[in-house]
Amino acid sequence: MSDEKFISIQGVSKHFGDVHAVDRVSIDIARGEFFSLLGPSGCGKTTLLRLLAGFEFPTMGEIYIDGQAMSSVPANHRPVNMVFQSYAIFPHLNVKQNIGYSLVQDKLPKAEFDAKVGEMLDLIKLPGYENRASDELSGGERQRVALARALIRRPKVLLLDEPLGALDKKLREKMQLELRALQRSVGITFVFVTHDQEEALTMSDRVAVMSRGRYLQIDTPTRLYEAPQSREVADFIGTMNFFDARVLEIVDGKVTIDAGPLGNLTASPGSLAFSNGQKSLVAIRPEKITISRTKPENGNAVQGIIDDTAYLGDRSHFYVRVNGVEKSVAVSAQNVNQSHLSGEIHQGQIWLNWSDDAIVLLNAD
Amino acid sequence: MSSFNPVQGSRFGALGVYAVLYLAFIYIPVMFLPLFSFNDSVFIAFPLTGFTLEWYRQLADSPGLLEALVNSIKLGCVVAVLATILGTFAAKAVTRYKIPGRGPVITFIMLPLVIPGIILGIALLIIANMTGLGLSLFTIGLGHLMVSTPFAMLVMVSRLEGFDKNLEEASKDLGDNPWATFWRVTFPLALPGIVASLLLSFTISFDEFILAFFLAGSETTLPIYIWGQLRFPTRLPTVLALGACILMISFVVVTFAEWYRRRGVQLKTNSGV
Repeated sequence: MSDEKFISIQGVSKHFGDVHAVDRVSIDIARGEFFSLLGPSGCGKTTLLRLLAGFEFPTMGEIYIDGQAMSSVPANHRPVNMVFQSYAIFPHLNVKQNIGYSLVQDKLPKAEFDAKVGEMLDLIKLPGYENRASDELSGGERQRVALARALIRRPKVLLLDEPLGALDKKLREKMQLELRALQRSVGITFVFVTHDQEEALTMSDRVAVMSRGRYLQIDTPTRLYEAPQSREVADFIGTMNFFDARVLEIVDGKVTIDAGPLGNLTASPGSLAFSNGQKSLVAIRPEKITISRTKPENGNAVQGIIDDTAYLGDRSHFYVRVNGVEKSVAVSAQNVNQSHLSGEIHQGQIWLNWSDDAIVLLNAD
Repeated sequence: MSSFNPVQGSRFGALGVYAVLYLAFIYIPVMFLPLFSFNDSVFIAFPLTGFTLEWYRQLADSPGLLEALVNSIKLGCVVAVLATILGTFAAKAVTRYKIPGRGPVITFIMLPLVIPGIILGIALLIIANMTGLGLSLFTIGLGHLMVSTPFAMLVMVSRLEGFDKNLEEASKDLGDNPWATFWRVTFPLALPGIVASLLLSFTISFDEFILAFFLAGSETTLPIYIWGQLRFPTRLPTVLALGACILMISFVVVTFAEWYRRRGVQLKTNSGV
């Protein structure tokens, strides 16, 4: 049993009638990893989580947790616990009874029971909350209680179904950091489901981007953002500008492409394969493009006119019309100084500038 | 100036008049029972002749009445418990599991609600005779169970649909088998519904006449006893006194059931996410 395959999902499909909610998925998750399933609603991420929990059973394939096949193990005997999207705090029980729910089967002496619950309350930073009724808790407190309840038996795997979705933005960002710190301190493998790409990138060791029951790419947050393998992933994670292109020649692992209005560009192909004459896609992140009034001396450049501007405080978004490019090019600039106040950049012709490194070369779909 | 709005004013007036007439239509006839049960005359007619408790005294002296009352209470209790158990499990099945033919199953369970009691009564009478079961409190109980189970199920379905299914999954996830999950989560959360269902089923059985009329053997229930008393004109005021008592008890029981059910709903909403 290797630590690399602590959880091993092998060719798992789940069909509901004609709907293939999960379609031949194989993923290995390492011991102690913070692994996220990211995708839009209906992509199969929650079904996959419920398969891990044992609330659903695969139509095909097998799931192994710590070397043990799970297909004949019901939810109540699996070494996993879950934090539900709705938190599912038992409304008829108080905080202590909720957190200690799974300990009741052990028939512990009262002092030991209380000590264990107290330890969990310290962990989630709600000491003294034992006798609070469940309806006296705020959203964030409910989330913490749900977390403590799931962690008290030290499961091998903790499953989290969009646990931060119901919280407001500030609290969510705080809980993201806390949850990450908690995961490091308890050392339990976390499988985290979210549709919020920023959340997935912030918290995870690795992320599986899912769509229509399959995963598109499994990678570290950095690689998902900087080196997406397909248009769908590039589009789903952050914002991306796409330009149609055609491969001209491949020399020494460098690909020269004809990107139409952008001229000829040179890029590194990454792990994808290209051949001469092939149609391809040039992708550039908005923050990797700079705007200037004069023609830049280095790198690649193209002229354009600013169509629209959005001021976001720490940064501004510009939408630039370039002759021959159908969609306006998005550019994001950090507002390092207060130059935008003068408004001089908004009129007339400007230059867009980017380096070869900024280019992600993708296969055209 | 909004208080002079003529449209709003007249609309409310018409609605108010309608509401008063409607309530009068329902409750004035019923109010004649307690009114004449205290009237000092065997004839049910105005003007009232004087106040008396004589009819209530006669009520206490009727041995047949007491026996019928005990029969009805025994029957009501047994029917209430059985109907609630069946209704709870049926409701759990249709709200929690993907059963094949769910729609038709629910329709067939609900069907006794719309079959006329007289048809059901005749049908059960024929079967009781054919099978040699004989007529007794037992056959009445079977009939009552048929008509009260759909009500019990309706109450329980609305209760079970009212709380988050994740709660039962969370219990399972935390190591409880289905039996422990039922007793630790489903049952306590469904309790208001269960109490309401018990009270409702009891009331249905206690008030039921037609089925009891067809299926009664030598032992009678209270409604049958009352009907029998109507043959003696001088007993009529006593029947009115009895009716007034039943009215009061039914009213209290149903009000309590509804209050308890609503309290449960409120508890749930308060603690919702």
